[in-house]
Amino acid sequence: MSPSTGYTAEKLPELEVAFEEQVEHGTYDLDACLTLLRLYSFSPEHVNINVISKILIKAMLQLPSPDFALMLNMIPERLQDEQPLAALIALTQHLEGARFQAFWVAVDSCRDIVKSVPGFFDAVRAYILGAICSTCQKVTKGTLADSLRLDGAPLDDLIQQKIKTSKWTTASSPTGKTILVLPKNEFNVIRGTDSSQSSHRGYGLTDISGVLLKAQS
Amino acid sequence: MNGYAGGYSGYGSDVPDMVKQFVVYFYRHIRERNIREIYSMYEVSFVKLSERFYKGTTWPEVEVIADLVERDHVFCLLYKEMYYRHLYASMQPTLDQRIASWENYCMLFSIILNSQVNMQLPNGWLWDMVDECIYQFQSFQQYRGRLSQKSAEELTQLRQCGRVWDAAVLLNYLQAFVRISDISGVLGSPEALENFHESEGYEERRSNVPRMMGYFSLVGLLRVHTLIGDYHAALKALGPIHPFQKTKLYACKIAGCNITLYYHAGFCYLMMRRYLDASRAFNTILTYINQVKQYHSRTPQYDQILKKNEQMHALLAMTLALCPAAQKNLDEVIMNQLRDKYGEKVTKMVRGGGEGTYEELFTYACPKFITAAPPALDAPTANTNQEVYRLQLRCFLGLVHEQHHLPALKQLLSLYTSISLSKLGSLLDLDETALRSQLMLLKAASMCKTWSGEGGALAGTLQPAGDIEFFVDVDTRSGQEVVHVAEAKPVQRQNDFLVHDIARFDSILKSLIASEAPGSTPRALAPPAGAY
Repeated sequence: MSPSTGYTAEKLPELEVAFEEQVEHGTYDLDACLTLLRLYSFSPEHVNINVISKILIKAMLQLPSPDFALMLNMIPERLQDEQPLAALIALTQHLEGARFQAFWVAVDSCRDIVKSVPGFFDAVRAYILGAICSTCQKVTKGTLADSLRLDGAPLDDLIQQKIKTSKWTTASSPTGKTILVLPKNEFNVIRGTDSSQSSHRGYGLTDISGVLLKAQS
Repeated sequence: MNGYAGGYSGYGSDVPDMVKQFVVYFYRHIRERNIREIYSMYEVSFVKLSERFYKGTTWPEVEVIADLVERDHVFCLLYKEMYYRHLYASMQPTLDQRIASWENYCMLFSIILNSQVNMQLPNGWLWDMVDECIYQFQSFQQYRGRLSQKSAEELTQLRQCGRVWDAAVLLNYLQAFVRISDISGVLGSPEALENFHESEGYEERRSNVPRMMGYFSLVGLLRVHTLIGDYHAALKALGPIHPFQKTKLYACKIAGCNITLYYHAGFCYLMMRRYLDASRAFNTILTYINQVKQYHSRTPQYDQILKKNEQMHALLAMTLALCPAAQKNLDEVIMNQLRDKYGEKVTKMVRGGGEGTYEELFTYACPKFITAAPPALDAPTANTNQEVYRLQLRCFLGLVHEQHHLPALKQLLSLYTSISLSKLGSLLDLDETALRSQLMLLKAASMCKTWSGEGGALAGTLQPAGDIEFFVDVDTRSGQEVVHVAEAKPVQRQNDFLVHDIARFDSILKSLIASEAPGSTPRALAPPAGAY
């Protein structure tokens, strides 16, 4: 009688295996992750906190897309207050709040957890770079180093690579500090005053006279 | 099926003749597929008879009227659908009645899904079925969650009732309707779509029921997923329907369906931080409500429409507070209504530190979330009803809190065209690292994923949505970091104010004139738009 099922707990083991494959292959399927969380919320006795923590790490790496926040809407509060979820939530809050130094301090205490998802550090650094590039036209090498927690050869390699592939250039300040000139994009420029030509469908003065005439009649 | 308590023996003779006639004719019209008559009996006569004979009580048991309708199985299921809807509206249902109503929906849905039905039913009724079924589902979860008030007997019964009103089963039914109706195929092909709009699903030789149940189930899926806090899946479930693609919207023909669609879609967009899309959705539906509400002033849904109208103004107020640029999607009328209702609160929220106001508005305007998992029946002191609501509130306020320094930062930035990072930091009492974080946060908050004309309700691209434009630069001569600023010019609105007041004056004048000449202006009541 009951129609075929897409929402029942019997599917959980299968979905958990498929998710582990996502982790292994570095792929990401938001719908599959949400389906898992939904099934956990339907049958709390099947909750697997290890799987949830890996799902959250994957979602963290999707920033600035709000996947992580969306998932929190489906994870009961008492689980959110448990470790390692609480630590992952704190990490994401640091990233979203652009408190990168605080993030790097916090990540030291949960290295083992985040390492369960390969490619974690590369993805986080890509996100941080994105945040800097959409806010700044130039940035000092020092700020970049602190934000990415990179220095020495790895940092220089990264900069060289960006010069080659992403049109970065370098300059230096009078005190000899290295300054990186970042390419312009949609977000790190002032787009002029075109926002005053709003798409607004307002009344013009001619409409007022129409209303006035109507009021008189 | 009908063995539950009630003691209706001898009730049959008490059924008024008018009610008997209603049942007989209703059955006959359904058999004859006379859609106009069915519609009028469903929409008008049933309401009138309920009011006259069954206020505060139930309609006759199906057993009592079954002989009048040749014990027709499907008709009896339809009758019971209306019976329980009336019961829920007029009294507190017992657990037995809740279970019986669920079983009735299951049987009715299975027949529609599994057999070739040939009946025609008014689309308005089909929407009511989906709507009512979800309402009763919601009501059951609330009832079940209040464990502390249950008797031992009720707890035993709850333990035995298995998958009654189970979220997964309900979702599966809705999905099954979508699948068998091929509604995605219909909405996806221009030819079939045109035909669909023209016929409104009523076709000569086939039943409108499966197809329209499929359409309404899309909206139903949106709602159920929203109720459990799964906003991504909610918008995804809309599938071929898009709130901003009017050509595929049949929903606007049925006010309840249209309002359900936009309320939930708008709420999902808000929770997904897609503020431009949220304000656009609310603008569309609030304008619609302004246009149609007069036609519903005498219907049972009128109070519901007004309530949703108020709630959506509250949601819109929060949307604008979080993203002032979202104002550009609003029409004058809506903007003025919002200013009248929530002007002060928006100012409070925009100034920052208005977390109490956010909480108040969220609590007032959010859907009635449900906890899909059954409560632990062995710990009957707990009340699980508030869990999902509290979780949503916590997540939402977390975001609000994260951004609570931004208004002060924006205000200060707007005074400069350029300012050094060190000076800005000293004005805000922040060190440079913290200030850089705030600037990047402000930048992130000024981008918003927004639908750009292609793809489903979830599709979109990152678009600028800030009310201030800035970037951070390093002065190569001094080595100092500098913020360059340009305020996005606010839309000039003086003429709006003038027009608003002139129109108000105009309407006062008109009502004064009308009150001088009583009876001279009978208000014409048009029939409800697209009644069926």
